Amino acid sequence: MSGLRLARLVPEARAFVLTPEFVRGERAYDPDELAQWCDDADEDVDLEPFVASVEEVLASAEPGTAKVDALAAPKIHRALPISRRTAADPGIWRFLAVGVAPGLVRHRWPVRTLATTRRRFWAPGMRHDSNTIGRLWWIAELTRNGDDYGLTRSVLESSNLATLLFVRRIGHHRPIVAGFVRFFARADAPAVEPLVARFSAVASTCALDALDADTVVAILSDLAFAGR
Amino acid sequence: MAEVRRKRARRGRTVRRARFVPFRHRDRGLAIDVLRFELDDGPSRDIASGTTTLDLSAHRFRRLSLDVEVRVPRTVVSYVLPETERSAPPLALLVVLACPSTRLRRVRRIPLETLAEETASVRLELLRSELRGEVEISAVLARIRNAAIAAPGYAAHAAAKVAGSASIDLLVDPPVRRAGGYLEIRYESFSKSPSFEPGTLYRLDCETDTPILFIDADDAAVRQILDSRGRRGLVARAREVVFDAIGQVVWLRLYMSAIAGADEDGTCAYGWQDGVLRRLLPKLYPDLSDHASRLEQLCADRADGGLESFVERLEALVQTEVRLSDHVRAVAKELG
Repeated sequence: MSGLRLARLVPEARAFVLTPEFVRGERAYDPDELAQWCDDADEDVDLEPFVASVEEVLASAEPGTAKVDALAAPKIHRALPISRRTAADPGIWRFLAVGVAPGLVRHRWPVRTLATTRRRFWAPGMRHDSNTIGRLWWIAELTRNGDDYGLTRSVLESSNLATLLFVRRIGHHRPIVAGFVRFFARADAPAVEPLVARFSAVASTCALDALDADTVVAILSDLAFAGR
Repeated sequence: MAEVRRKRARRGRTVRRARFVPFRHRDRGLAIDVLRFELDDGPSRDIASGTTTLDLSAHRFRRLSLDVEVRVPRTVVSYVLPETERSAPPLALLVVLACPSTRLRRVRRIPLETLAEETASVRLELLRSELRGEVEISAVLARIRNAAIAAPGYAAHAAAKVAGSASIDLLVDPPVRRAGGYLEIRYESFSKSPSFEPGTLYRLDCETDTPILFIDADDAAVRQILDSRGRRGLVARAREVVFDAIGQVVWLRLYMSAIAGADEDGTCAYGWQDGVLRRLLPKLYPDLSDHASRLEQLCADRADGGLESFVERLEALVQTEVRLSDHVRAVAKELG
């Protein structure tokens, strides 16, 4: 059993740990080094399965591609059986990204600018430039059906669709994500970006909880037809 | 006992963008009440009618049960449906519990035709492990199918929201309180940490849950000025100018970070960014009357011109806010 346990990195650590050397991958932190910036997480979690799942992803997914997301999200989610209450604490995702699996962040996103890469270690949320590990866990949590991660993989295989859906609240609704995946799997599917924006406008007049995947596909078809 | 509060404490609240839908029957919409709650195996506790915020943050419960009642006046149907649909209303009542922090949504769906009375009662069972911060409970009336023939003035598509209630807020955790409003100020020895650039006086860290302004603790002269409490004399005037110099950059960074941080729905990555936008947007868009419209305009301007398009407007705005020119004149006067 690994001695490494889940912890949370406190907000003020950012100024001290996200140095340019760390962000570029020229420096790594031992979890003991981070101890001065860490608090206990709400739940006691053994991180050995998480570390093993990250190693599998690093060994098998082509760097810098959406395949990393599609492969990593279900594995990360299975390896971290935490409650949503614990997962809502950005400090645990910062600890995992900075102290445990910084390689996964850089494997998915090559360092282009320091500012954006810093966000990928630190910022909460589900934007493409937020904490890479937390984002994937949350997308898996919101799109899985029990232990079936088929929808999670499908939506993450299209980086563009995932980026556009999960910056909006429509991405929090599994039937809506399922409708989008089904619609855009069609060979004659139109461009994603304008349709997501138009769907969001329509959705603002809807009770999102009343939308099922069939209705979402029907709305998208109408919008695509009207936009021709 | 749960503390029941009717007034909202704005600072430190979880960010939630609320948009008002101008239902034509808004004065005759749905009414929602939490009648009582139970914590774990404890006794049932009644809640006063009309309560809008239920604060349970002092309780360490594992399970929570809420009895919710929604009143659907009969008149609503005649306001939201054309005459041809009123005898068998294609509507469902949704009682929705949403926790923004955990993205939890718990929905109870009641077909309107099964509602014998004007009121619907729902029991919601929750676990603490699926909640954090604030929870919102509301009710909405939605269409369950498309209309065979669209009638002018009425929503016709399936899932269209046709009526709603006000929301009730449930506080599971106490709101975060910040010193200094939007940011924390900390003195750090810059010479002892390689994280700080040599020769700098301060550093602002915006990309975190509360912005932190680090000030170099090594410079005794600067610290003496910043920590001074006097309101008259040269030291007080110098303090104002130093704060202005720092404040200009700080406000510009806070504004830019908040503008960049709002996503397409206007939801912000950090809670403080929402507070900053609520302060900034009425000044940027004085002709728009509500926050949602201003956010929409902000997103449109950002898409059109990028972040750089805001810099010039903000630079002028910040200078007037910090009153730099007044304070420089005051120093000059003090110097004779």
